[in-house]
Amino acid sequence: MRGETNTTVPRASSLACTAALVCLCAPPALAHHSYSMFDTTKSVFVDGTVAKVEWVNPHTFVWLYVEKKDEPGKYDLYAFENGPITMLMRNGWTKETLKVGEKLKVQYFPLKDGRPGGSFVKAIHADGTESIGDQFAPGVAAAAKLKPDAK
Amino acid sequence: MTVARVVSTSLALAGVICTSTAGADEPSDASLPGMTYESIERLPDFSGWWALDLDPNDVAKSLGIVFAAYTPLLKPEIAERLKAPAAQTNPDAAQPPGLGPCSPMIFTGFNDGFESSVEFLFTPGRVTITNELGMLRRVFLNRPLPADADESAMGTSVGHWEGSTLVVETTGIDHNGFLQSRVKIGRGARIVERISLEDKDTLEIARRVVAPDALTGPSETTLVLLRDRDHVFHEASHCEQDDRSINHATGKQQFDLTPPADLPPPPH
Repeated sequence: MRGETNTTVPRASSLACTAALVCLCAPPALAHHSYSMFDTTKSVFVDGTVAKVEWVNPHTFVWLYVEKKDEPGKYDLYAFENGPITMLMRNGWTKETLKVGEKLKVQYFPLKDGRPGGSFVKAIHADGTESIGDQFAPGVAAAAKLKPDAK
Repeated sequence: MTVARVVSTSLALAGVICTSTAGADEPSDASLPGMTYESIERLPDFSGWWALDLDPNDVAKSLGIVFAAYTPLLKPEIAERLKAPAAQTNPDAAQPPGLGPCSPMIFTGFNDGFESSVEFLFTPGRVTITNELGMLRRVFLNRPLPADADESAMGTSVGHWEGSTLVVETTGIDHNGFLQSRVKIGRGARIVERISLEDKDTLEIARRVVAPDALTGPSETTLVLLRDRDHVFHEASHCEQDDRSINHATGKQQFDLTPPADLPPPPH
């Protein structure tokens, strides 16, 4: 996976607490599913090209073509679960924030099962600006402060 | 003051509701606050959209104000049942038990302001409280609260103004509504909200929740919401059937990597 780096997210205990609150203590208005599919103890950066943005409820999805490290010209398809539309809009997003064909870097919490994808943290555009996902999702606010080269 | 007005719609709705809602047939005094557009102009400005004042760096603490208040008041038998965490007994559960797909929201004291923003609409004799998840609470002003309201998802609400504070009282809440995961509000619940502006862009909702089937005593908390003047409405939803992350056959969590049918080809 080209350009992929791992970053440990601080305050894992408080993240777990947040997840527990949102996922276990919440009435229907807050509930989707738990975040147990994702490893929220570390975030990963990957470079790619936006293939599609599914601007839908209850979760938006970002699809990214990532060039294979050992096979230039061939691509893996990554999928990232992002926040609900309303939460992203509160953070300044529109459905045009990520454009199909745009090259960018995505930070995410990887799937525990190792498949290509995970829970979206933020995108770093070519000009260096960042689009942070659902800052109230477990771990996102803390992880989004990290840079791709952080160890 | 700018107050959202839904004149024709609200009048039509009021006509329908007045024929069917308990308590709505009671006469009300047109001279009381909120009963005419002229008096609405003199009331505090709740118009527009509101979101909870949450710190993204400490969401647990912020949301704790919303939900943790119930925990020390839970009846002993309920607290005992909750000692077995749902995540341990069913780690693959798609959602906390009791949350069905696209089940209608049941008001149990929380108007949201987290996933979806909250909106107040003032029309003569009525305040309407909505959110982007489809909640629609009709608060009839200056009418008595019916003693035997039928249960419904939004309950039956009446309100009145005490100075600059809107006091809303709600009963007849569907007993299957959840105070928190695995804790139903039960029968005979009564919720009082005292809603006021702390300043022009800060709204406080002091709520008192009495739920005799679930709690040993009244729960009293105050939620703080901030006005979002630039907010653009967008419908929110947590419908399970639209969630790619849930296997609809099993109800368990999944992460479906099946590409969308209209996915464009990779870059050349």
